[in-house]
Amino acid sequence: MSAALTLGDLSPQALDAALRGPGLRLRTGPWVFAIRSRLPQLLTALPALYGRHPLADDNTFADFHVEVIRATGLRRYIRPQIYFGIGGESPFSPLPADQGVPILEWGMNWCITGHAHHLLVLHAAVLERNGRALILPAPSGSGKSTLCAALLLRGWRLLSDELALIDPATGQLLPFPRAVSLKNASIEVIQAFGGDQLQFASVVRDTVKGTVGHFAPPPDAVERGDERAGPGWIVFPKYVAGSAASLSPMTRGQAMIGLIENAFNYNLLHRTGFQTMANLVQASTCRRFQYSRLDEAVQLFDELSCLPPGAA
Amino acid sequence: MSRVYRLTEGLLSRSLGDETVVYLPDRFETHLLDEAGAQVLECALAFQSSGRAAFTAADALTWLMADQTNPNSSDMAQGAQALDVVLADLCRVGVLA
Repeated sequence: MSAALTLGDLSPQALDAALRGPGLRLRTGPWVFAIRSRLPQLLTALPALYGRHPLADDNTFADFHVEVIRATGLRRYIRPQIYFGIGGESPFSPLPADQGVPILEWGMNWCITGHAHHLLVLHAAVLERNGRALILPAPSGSGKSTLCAALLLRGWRLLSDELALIDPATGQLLPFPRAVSLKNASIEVIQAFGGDQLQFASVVRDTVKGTVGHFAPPPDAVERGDERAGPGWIVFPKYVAGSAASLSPMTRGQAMIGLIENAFNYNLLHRTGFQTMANLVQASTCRRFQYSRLDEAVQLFDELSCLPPGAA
Repeated sequence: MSRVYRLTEGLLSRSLGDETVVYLPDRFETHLLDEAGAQVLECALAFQSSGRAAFTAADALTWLMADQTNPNSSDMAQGAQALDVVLADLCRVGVLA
């Protein structure tokens, strides 16, 4: 049996033809995205960010048909803009034309948070070790993405840097390995932490979130993109300048309320959402975490991963 | 006449150690109950499972103090006062009606 075709196997011409034609059918996690665009920046960024991701053929059902397109009229020439489109609709305001990578990434997230209601979806980074998931739920600015990037660079497997996807039927967390996103000062911090092995494929300034950088998920995260993880640890991180890394206890009840505050579709799932959330916290070790230095943080998480699953 | 309390219909609950989380489907609300709230909820659930739809504060106090041998009148009075606060709180959040 031959290995699946990956995006990196395509020639620049073939990639261009797919993006301009029926759409590049990219598999990530349980979904296929059909991506269309004529933006030159995506021609270079997509192979760098998603080169190892498998592709589906043109006859495969695509869950989401998305496109990044140039605005027409004056906005094609004066301060040019681009749109993210799905099924012929544009759910967001247009962005400046150099923001193709951020708008595609944010759009793909929007597809999941707005449609994947067979799963409980949380705003959280998720990593895995020994078959157990480490969930890092937190609002923007908490240092979640920086911590997630540091942990994946030190051997934790990335499931997602943005969305925790929980299957209500099994309680397991689904991988959704995508480009890893960092903002502002975190970009330099993680570049220094990752060293030469880490290459940002895209850095865009002056977005609504400031400077936004993306790098490719590690090969291991993509190759094991179908391998789910059971609940392990729920840790609410907070970056506090100058602080020593410390984990502190959190009751499961507090953790559940905190998770609900970071959920996209908890109320939509109604009773199923409650049961799934309660099962998740009951099976997890729950902690608060504050840090300022990444090497200390990684060491503490390595120690935490040695606790038996579900330890109080 | 004593006030009668009823457990909200369709309520879901889950015990998580000393705390209990409850979900009120009609309101789409989740609440975290402390240990005292969880004890009164346990009492209300016990009444419900025995087919008793409604109960008074005195019923709840009797149930909660059932394993206390020979409670004195002072304990009973203080327990009743504390119970009134918890019952009011459970009514406020919608666990009891």
